[in-house]
Amino acid sequence: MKTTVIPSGHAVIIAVAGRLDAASAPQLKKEFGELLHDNRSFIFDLKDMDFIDSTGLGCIVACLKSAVEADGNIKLVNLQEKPRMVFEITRAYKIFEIFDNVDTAAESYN
Amino acid sequence: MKCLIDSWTGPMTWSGELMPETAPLMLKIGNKPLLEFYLDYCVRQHIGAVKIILRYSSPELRDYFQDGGRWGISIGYAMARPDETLDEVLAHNRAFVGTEPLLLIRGLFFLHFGEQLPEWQLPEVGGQGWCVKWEGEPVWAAIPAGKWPDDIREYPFDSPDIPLSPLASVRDYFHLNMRIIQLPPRRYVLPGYNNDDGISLGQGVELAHTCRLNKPVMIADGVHLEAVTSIGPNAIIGTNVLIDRATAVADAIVCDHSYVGADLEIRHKIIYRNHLIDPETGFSVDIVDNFLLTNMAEARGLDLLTLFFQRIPALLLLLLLALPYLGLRLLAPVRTIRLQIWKNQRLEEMTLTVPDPSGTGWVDRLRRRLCVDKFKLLIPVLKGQLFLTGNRPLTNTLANAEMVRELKVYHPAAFPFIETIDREFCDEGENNSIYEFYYSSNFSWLYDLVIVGRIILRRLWHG
Repeated sequence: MKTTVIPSGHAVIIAVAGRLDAASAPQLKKEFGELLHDNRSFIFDLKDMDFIDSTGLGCIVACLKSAVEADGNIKLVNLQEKPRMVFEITRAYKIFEIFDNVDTAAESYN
Repeated sequence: MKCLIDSWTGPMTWSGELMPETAPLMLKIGNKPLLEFYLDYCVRQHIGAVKIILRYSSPELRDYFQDGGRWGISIGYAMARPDETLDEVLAHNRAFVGTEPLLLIRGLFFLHFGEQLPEWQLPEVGGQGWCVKWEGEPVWAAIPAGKWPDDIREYPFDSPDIPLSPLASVRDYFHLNMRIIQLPPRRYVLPGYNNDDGISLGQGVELAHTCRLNKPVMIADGVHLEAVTSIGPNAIIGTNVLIDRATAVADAIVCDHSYVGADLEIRHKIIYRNHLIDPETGFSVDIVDNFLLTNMAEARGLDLLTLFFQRIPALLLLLLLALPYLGLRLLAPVRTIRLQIWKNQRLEEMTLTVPDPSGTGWVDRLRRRLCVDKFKLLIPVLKGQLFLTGNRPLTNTLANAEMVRELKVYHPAAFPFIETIDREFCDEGENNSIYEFYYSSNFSWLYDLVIVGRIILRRLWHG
């Protein structure tokens, strides 16, 4: 998994690429924890995330929980077809706001 | 009249791609194999002999249908090459047909003989017979007695209006199943099912008392539904399925031998073992996460085989090594190190205490020669935390995580396969991965015992 952090207006965009699973989830959680010190609004761009398992999903949910506890939020964009099916069956789509592009997600923070 | 059923699927390749472990003729429609519908129809037509032309190996199909005695018809089998033409198939099976009329069935089609047209009969096989074509290929045809065609495509058959539905895509398959389950007369329900007002249950179905069934649902044999599950409306659950607690399944098909994890919502999907299929788009996700979906057959088989081929030999070795272990321990203490390893392909971790390989004293060397250094590793084998034989326990690094995921099976073991390889062919680095891949592709429970034997003999001989 590779993450790229892009500061953008009101929110920080975290682009996640590759596999988000038990092996890579701790890395994302650590990076997110560091960013949460100075930021509150996040957008996870999942355009290049081609796989997610329950640990990866648990990591994103844990990030959301930390963000909400700090009065922040995480919005998801560009969820691809195969990870989307995992979000569907785990009902994770019910707890996230999911947008189809970064701009509309960023505007929603305004 | 006789019937020839050709397992040709032509351009209908979706089943092989999405459900590779199921022969296309064994695809379940309302928990009943497609081929069984064909046979039911043959019985209604008073066809006494059926020959099934298999273009793939399917022991499952032969086991299920055997000689056809259950249906009161005689079933024979023949093999054909996957690329064999219809003309070749007909030529190869001419002796079977003899001088009788022939009903030819090919491709994946569903004949709606039990719905609006319960008494529907095939058109008379008189005159020149008839043929139904799909994309230019004959799929259902009747050849009158003594009028064997030179080329079935050129033969001037009529095309009667036969209520056939092609299963040309997974979407067709899904919607046909959903339609079948909603039919009021329930004509397609398997014999042996309890069929009560929209809820059809097979045998050996275990329902938790907090489980909710919303009709129509069809649940096959050996299904276990945990607490607070909600099944239906419009759910078809195959045989040997476990739905874990608080999971909802509606407008969905869960195929045989599948485990569906806890707290999931399966709507408008097909679950095929560990594959999650969207019937509308045909997208399939291979879930490697055993908390979500997995294959029930593997999970069950493993436990029993593990007992016989792993734990019992481990217990015998433990008893055999107990005295040398205690004796050598009096001479020199056992030095160990702790490793964090990947426990399984779900990338769970565990701490493993292993003998320190750096010991060079004569007692350490003797321990290794007698395999006494394996003594403590046999305890986690007995507890089911480790395998007796298998892969090298891989430490919890990212590189090893990649390897663990790519292996066909990952069995961290006390006696790893790599110890049967001469040291000159082993590196300290990742080149050893070839042996892990070799083992995971070639392992068998009997081979495991051979590996243990080899390791013990090598150590005794070479130290």
